[in-house]
Amino acid sequence: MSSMLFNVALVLLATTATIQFCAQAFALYAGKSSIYSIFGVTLSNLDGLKYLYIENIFIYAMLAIMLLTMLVLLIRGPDRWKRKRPTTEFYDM
Amino acid sequence: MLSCEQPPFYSERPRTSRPPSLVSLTPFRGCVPRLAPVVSAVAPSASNVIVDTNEFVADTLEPVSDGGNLNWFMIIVVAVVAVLTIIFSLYLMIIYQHPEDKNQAWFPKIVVIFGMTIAIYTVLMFPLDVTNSQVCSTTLPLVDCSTTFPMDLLWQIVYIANIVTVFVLVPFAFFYYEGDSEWSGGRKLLSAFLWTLAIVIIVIVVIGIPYILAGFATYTFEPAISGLANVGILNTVGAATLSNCIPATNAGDLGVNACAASSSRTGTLRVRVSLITYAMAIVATVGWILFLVFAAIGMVAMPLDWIRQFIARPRTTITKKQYIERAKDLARRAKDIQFVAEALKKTRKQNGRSRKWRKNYSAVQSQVQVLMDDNDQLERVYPQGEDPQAAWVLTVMGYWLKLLAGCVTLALTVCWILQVILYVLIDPPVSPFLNDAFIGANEVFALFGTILFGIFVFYLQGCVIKVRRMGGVNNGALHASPPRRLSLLTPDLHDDRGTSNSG
Repeated sequence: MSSMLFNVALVLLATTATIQFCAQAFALYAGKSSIYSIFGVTLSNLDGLKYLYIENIFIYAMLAIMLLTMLVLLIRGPDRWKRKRPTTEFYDM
Repeated sequence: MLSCEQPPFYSERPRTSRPPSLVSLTPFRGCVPRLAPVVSAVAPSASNVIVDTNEFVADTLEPVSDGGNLNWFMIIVVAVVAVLTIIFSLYLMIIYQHPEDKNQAWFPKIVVIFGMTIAIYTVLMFPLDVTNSQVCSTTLPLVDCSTTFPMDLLWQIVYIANIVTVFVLVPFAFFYYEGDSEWSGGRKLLSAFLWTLAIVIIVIVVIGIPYILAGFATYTFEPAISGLANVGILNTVGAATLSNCIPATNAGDLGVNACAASSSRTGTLRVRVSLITYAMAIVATVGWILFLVFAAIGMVAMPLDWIRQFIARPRTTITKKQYIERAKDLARRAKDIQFVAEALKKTRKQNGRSRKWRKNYSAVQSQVQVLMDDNDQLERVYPQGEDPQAAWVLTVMGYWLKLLAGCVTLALTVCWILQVILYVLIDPPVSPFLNDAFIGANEVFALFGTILFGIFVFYLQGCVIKVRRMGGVNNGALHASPPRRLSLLTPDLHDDRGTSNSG
């Protein structure tokens, strides 16, 4: 139950960013929407915080992580994590 | 005649990275000409009178679209989807709940359902907002377009619900539920209340202090002034007369002559933003840190995983003898895990949940997951039941569907990356790319573009959820909630269903 609560909180927080990201990426399509006026216009003119969005810091970081993930997943299959060792590793307690 | 035209950025990305013109202040609704007469009022000359061209336009234009009729189709769709979302959240909750929690822990469950519902609403509201903003014709002044959804208000409600859920309801439910089981109800409540209070205070500090110190938005604009004309001009009202620009007499001092095409003078306007908007901005920024990691991993892992599953699919069924052999092997592994789980339970009783314990615990969990996967795989290659042949056909079809899903998600990921590079990162944008696709799709069939857009928004959300369900990539606190059957095997349990399941 507690992990579920934790996950819900994570999803909710990530959702706010999803919306901002989509507002920015689809500015032309969503340019007249209310959320664009909040996230597209206000946020990119907000003192201080605006630099994160004007300079696309988060988006560059995201692309970098995507590239890393791709490298890691292609070099080591996802199965390698799961099956790194049979049960022996937890006997020493 | 001057009219409320599409904001100029409609053909190109709004320039958020550069000083926007005045237009950008209200690019989503505002009409450009409204601003000019305001400036000209600063220096009226004795013989002139202000002509508010915008007012004039508003009076003379017939309402083009809604005309006061409610769009019942949209209202019904929204209502139905809203109810379906709640049912869907309830369904997810029931599927993924821990079997030990059945018929108890109501408060955390309600919080989870509420939270899931809000999350889905938030994502769904984006396509709704876009559709809603297109209901009224662009030539219709906003004041006459009154039968649309009040999206500003709805967004604020959803975001407040989001913030309250994340920082008040979830912590409270979490600490209440995790409270020492020997405590009385009152003590649990008090403990949960104090923890939540601490979190709320931190949130207030994190949002409040920056808001007080820097809760402003600074807009750069290009002032433009127009001249004034005698009121008599209204008697000879004709579109041709009014479309002539009236030059200002002393434009150089105040701003740029509205009649001139280009300008170089800029001014800045510092406005205090509303607390809710600021809170939304801070929460979105915090959310970004989570989102960029989860979405990035998910967008790569989702298609790769599906395609890999297809490549590693079982090609043929196995014989009964092989089945029994493999089942025995699984049972042996299950017993080993059971043994370790028992040992873990003992250690927890003696030493509590140490760091090492938790590490071992999550290792056991991932072993259980592998065991479950192998068990599922075994059941698949040795189909039983009434019609094994049909079951096998379904299995094979399932893997081809996975290939399809892998290809579709790969296409979505590639589109997203291209969109970000072509439209967001390169300035000026190389191509509107998906924007054009959505607008074009909407022209083919009204809801088509909206659905397409919704798919792209939901895909991101799906990627975030996907990563949290991946075993291995993340661990510890970020570990996904166990699927229903997996939780039957977790060391927390007091019976030995683990062995019976795979034997």
